[in-house]
Amino acid sequence: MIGSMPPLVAGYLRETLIQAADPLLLSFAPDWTLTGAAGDATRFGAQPAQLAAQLRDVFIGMPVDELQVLPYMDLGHGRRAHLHLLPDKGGFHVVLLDAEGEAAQRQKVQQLGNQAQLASQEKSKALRSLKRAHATLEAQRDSLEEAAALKDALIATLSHEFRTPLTAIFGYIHLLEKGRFDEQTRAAPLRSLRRATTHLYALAENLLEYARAPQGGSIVTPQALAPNELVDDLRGIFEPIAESAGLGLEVGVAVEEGARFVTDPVKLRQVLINLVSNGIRYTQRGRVRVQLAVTRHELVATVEDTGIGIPAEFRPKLFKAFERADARVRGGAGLGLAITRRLVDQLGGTIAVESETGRGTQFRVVLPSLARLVSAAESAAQREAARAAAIEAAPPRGNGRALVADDDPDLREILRGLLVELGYEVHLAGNANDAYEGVYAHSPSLLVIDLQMPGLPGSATVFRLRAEGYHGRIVMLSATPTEDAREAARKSGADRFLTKPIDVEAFAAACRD
Amino acid sequence: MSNATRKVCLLGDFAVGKTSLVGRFVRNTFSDKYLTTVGVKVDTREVALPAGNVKLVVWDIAGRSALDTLDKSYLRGASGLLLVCDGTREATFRSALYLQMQSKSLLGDVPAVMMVNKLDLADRWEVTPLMVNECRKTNPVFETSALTGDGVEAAFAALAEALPP
Repeated sequence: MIGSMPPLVAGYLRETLIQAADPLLLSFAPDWTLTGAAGDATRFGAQPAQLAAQLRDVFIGMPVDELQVLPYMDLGHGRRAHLHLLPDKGGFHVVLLDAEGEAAQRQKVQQLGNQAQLASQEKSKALRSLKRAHATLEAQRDSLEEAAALKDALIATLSHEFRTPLTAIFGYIHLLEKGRFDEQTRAAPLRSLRRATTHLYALAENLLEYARAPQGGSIVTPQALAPNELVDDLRGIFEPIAESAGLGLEVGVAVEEGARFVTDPVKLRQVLINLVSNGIRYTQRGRVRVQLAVTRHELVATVEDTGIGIPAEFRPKLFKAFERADARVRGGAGLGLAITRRLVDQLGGTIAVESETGRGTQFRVVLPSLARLVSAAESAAQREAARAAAIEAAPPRGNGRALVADDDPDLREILRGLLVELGYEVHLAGNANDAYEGVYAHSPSLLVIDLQMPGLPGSATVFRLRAEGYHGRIVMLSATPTEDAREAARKSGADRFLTKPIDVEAFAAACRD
Repeated sequence: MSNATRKVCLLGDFAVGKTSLVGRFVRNTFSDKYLTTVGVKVDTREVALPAGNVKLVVWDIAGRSALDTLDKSYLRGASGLLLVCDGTREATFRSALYLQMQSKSLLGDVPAVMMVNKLDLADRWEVTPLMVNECRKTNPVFETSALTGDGVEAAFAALAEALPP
């Protein structure tokens, strides 16, 4: 284009642009001897000779008989430049064009872009972490809210539930003490006393069960069931109550010949007491029938009444605590069916209900025999005992050398003492780097290392060792009992993670297991 | 007294700590302020090796996850590569390996060392020992921290030793 311009214009433009660019020209012989310089070298923070030596390093490995362009070069003197190497007869020239303003502008944009991208990545990570924390908190909040609501409901209900039968008990005891009843008339108050105490007993049992953690529940103790004894027990408890309520009670049992059914009899008894209590409570006329069918593999219990029935809309809430189908019916804390479901779950069984409003309800409980569980539990207990004994008696792992790395000298000594007791020859390190060196110096088969130490964290050493193929056992300790710390230990390659203060037995097991 | 001068280039995604590693290696300084590099910053340092000193001309190339034409012009004449990634960002580990692969079309199989940086943040690393172990089959790997200086000297020295005479 410049060729088509009038020479005057072309010359003017050349002059103007060259002045604006203010280039520094350095001319060289082929062996990089500086042969000439034009322009202000100090603008680039150095003398021509100094720049010439530096440029020689910069262009190392590049042919000087070809055009080379290196934009945005920071040579460390405070001003960035675009470098142009132009071959010429008998040598070459290097032109430095000031790029500082342009580079600074570009840097601003690039900085913002990179920071935005980093922030977005951090945000995504933080969001993932927040989501996890949120889910955990939600679950905890739900459970706390439920617990608080249940506590309120429990207190409100219990004050009534305990006081009513206690009033009857105190009243009848008073009348009996006063001799108000003779041989003929005392049957009725005794029945009332039995009813009131049975009610309190069931309530107490349910409360105790409810107080246990819903997930864990109480421990199941499987034993051989004596079905006839259970049936007698139910009759003994409920016949007087049913009779005083004007209801019939039929309790029957069918046992397969030679069947030995294993379950937790105490829990099963509580299940049946709850179901029969409910049956009697919600039946005004007719009868309550209990039938047990026992084989060696299964127990089916049906409790059937001719009571008021359960409205269809209530059935979904049937097994929730403190829910009652008919608030007009008195008695019951609203815990019975919730506890019953939990107990049946613990026993590995199922519970189903069929009901017709105004005609009655039938509960059907099916339990599997826990005979296998008994033998499995026995062998698991034997295995655990054998394992504990083996750990106790086991020699140290591998070559018997251990390295303890902790910045706390007291803790180092304590850990040394524990490991010496376990039979190890112990070496000590006070930081992550010494631990790393120590592993190479002593080749321990066990490394016990603190996660948080001044300087590099323990996880850095563990990572490096694992990445370099160290196969010894690594036990990481931390005073921070968080999931993040556990995760850091796991990801870096530690075998075990223990939190401080250290449980000596757990430590021994972690070192020897 | 230098026996040889060699150009080595740092390649890696942005914000993995390339400039900080050079700062630690050349000036033994560290700043935790992130300042993106535009173009290239060139520094030099002599490294003493059993076979004699070597002067490393270190090209700290602006970070990116793939090479463009400009980067290739910067790479010309390089004798070795320092691949840098950030242990807390797994994607940068893959970027570093990808950059190495791309550079082969220009440089061939020049010696390279992987620096998994930010060892001081090992608690937050996404790069795993297994990944490092796997990578070690093709490149020497150094876990480094520009902040504490761990692994930095060793990584540069390993590359310097591996450079052709």
